[in-house]
Amino acid sequence: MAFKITLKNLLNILNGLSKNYLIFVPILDNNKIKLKRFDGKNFYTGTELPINSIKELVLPQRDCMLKYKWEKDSGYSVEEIKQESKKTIVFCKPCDTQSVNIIDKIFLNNKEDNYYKEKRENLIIISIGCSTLCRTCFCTTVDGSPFNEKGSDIFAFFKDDSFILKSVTYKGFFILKNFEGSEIEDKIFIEERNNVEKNIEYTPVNIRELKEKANSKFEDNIWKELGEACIGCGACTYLCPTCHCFDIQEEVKKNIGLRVRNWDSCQFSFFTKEASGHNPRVSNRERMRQRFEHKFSYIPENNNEIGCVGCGRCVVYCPVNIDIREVIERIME
Amino acid sequence: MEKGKEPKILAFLCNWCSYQGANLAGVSRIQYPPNIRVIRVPCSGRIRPEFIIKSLQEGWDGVLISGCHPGDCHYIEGNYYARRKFLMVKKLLNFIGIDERRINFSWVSAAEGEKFSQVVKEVVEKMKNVDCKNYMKKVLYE
Amino acid sequence: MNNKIIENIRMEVKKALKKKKVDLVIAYGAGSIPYKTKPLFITDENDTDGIIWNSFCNINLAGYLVKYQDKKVGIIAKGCDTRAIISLIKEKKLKRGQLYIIGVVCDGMIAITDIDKKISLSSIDSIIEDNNKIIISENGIKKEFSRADMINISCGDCNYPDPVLSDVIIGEKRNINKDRFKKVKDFEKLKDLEKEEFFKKEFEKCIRCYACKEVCPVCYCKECFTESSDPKWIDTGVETTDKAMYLLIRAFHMIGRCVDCGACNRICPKGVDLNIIMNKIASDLKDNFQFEAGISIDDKIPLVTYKEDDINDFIL
Repeated sequence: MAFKITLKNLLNILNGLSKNYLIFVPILDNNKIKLKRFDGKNFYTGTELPINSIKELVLPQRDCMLKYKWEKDSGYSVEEIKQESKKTIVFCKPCDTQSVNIIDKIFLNNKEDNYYKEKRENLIIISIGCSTLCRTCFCTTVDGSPFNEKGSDIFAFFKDDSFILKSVTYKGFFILKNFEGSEIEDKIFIEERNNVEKNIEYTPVNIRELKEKANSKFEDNIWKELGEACIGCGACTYLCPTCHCFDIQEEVKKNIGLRVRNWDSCQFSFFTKEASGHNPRVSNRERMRQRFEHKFSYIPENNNEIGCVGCGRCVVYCPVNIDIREVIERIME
Repeated sequence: MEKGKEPKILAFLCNWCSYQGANLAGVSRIQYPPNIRVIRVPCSGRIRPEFIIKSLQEGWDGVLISGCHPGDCHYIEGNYYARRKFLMVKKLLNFIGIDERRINFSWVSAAEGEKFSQVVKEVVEKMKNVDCKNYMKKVLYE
Repeated sequence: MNNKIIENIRMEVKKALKKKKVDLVIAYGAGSIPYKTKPLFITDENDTDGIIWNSFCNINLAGYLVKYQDKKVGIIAKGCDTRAIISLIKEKKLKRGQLYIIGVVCDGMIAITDIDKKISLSSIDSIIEDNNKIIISENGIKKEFSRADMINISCGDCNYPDPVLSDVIIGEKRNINKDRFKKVKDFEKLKDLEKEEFFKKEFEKCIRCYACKEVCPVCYCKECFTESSDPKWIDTGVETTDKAMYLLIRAFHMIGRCVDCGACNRICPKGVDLNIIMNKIASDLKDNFQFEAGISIDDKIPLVTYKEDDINDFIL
């Protein structure tokens, strides 16, 4: 069952939902599109991706895990920080949704990560299908699509002045009850999907082939060439919706302390530095190679998914223009 | 520190002059406000800008750095370099919105016990009216 | 106009490699998207066709030189890049004899955050520069913008577009001499609270990606204070106070070294205004010690020298 609502109604409904849910929408803030809390009136409906991805909602850049203190009379005490996150609704593009699917497989397989699980279970994802691709998007290369419903709780798209949505999971169905509008047939989704897809140039890459070729090219010259240009900052990893490396730190002040989990980047020179001073990934060449092999070889091997969603953020923001699309081409040669 | 409360000041004193001056003030029973806590460094030139900023982050209301008079440094020229560094640090911190009365420098020699107590009195007096609540202080949890 | 410059640059690079003046030349090449460029490392004289020059040559190529201390290296350098090279030579990280500097007079660079202000990045097909106009084609539709409007703030106030140290200069010198510290002096007049509000907002944007630190040519320490765990100067999180600490301590470490090239400002993904802090440092150094970084190789670095009659009035 699908609904069609006007934009104005959408804003009203979101205002109503704000009482019980945290709502995150893309907004135009200071000339940049960002994913931020819904403020009551602003909602960006265009094609550009927000600079921050929904990774922040399930894996915050700074996540407090434990607090502990020592007091003279009572001694040492540790307290786990309760992860009481409120139910959160987020509007994002299908590539970001797919990135959460990938991170799910890493944090919820085998041993579940409690801190991640709590936030993930309270997250309701509304994927908004793209009507065109940006110049830097390449989701179709990495087994994705602008109308990919996988992983979303509600799937929607903007058409003219309306917002058309349907539920994909039970979680979504429950929320959809709040969206009152005129009922519309499900087949409009298939029609729109065909409409969009016939205008896109599909250049998909065979994931298995990419994995095998990436494996075989471990010692290839391409890493030396890229490594020369790479400056070793963390911009690509921090903006990437799939990169999930973290660092656990203790922040201590006198007799109280906090254990936090922060984002970390494999591109930093001290990421693999050992206590002896030895660093197995001593230059940018090894670190670059690690990132791409992780995305195209190790994650497909371990989790049966390609580790890149084709959002293009790293392509736009890399200071030295290392283009992941060119890397894929070179590997597939 | 809210207005009216006692400011807490971290003092970095150079071992050969200012620390001895403070010592002399103590031995001579000269009264001075108890708001300072002292860290002894070999020379005022040892002070890195990180020390000052980290003190603000740890919650100190003010910082006092004191060294030998120019020309009298035990290491010949440490305090000359320090003087240049401090000027830059003070100006930049003022630029980002930290009240300049919070960062203080002085020259106190080993024989100037009285001067040391004057310096401390002056700094504490200045700081009484300064609102020290700002975004630099790090609070782990309440 | 740019085409002539590009031709000349390619010719000079070819010459330098042919005559074996250098083993390697670092130049700008076309990026995979219209508003970006990438660094090229050219060793063969026949490979010069990839070299370009436009208003998106945002990074400071001098940053790569420190890796090649034992080779003879050629480099395409804008005015600010040559000053960074002087700064590195002063700090004994490079020798003048090993460098072949192809200086290019710079008209100012445009960063991603500058384009973002005028037009959405997602649908830009192509960008053409025509004298004082930037013509951006968006989904086939051409839009014109004035160059002066789009130039990055770090370039807008620049006094040194002409290379200060070079073996050959391409382009006509512009000989600019303006008061580049006016913005800083105006900012200083604000009240403490207003300054705090401004900086709090700026520091909030930062994501601690360290792009500014890595692209900076004079930030060459093998072990940075951010990596130090004993003593641990700053926590690695993103509390505003930690971010402020990182940006300020890096600024302090750059005193006397930073030549205000603005590369950090232009490549910051979030558009944090680092330019104003570095400008303030440059302004203070000029006022109090009559020093400008990167102008002359023989100048003494201000913080490792002293005068007996230095400014004393702030001392109790």
